[in-house]
Amino acid sequence: MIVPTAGKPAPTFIASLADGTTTRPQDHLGHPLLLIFLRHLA
Amino acid sequence: MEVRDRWSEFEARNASALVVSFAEPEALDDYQQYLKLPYPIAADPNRKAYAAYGVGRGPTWRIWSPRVIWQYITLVARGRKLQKPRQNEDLSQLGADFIIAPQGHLQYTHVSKSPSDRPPIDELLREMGT
Repeated sequence: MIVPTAGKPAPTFIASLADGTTTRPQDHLGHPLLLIFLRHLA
Repeated sequence: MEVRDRWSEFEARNASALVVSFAEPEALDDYQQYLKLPYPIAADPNRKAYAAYGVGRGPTWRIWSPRVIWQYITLVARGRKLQKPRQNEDLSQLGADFIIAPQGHLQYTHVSKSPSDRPPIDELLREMGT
């Protein structure tokens, strides 16, 4: 796989948010992606 | 979790965040409630986002390196109860951290070489500027 480098457009994707249908606690997230979005300053 | 604990510093830099996990959506809600993360978690069980960002699987010798095993031992010593992975959860899948600038381009990328390889919080904050 090729990691997009800094300066390139961020890839877009569609994902599902947690929907609250489980009863079993999950104590780990696997190995997540953390996407931090910077907003324009007002 | 370190990001959550220092989230106010991220907010001060006008940031928002999204966590993407390869776990199924129904596995994540309790996790969210348990940890009270100040940002949403998205489920990506088919790992399309991982593929889009070029984040693949790590070799076994890195996934189960002494450092990673030590990290798990530390978590257990702190009272964390480890669970077996759910069906279809791939422990060899690596994680990553990305900072996306307002214009939509990547400002920072860090793809983990192992589960314990995450960038220091100070490095993320430094990349975001003041």
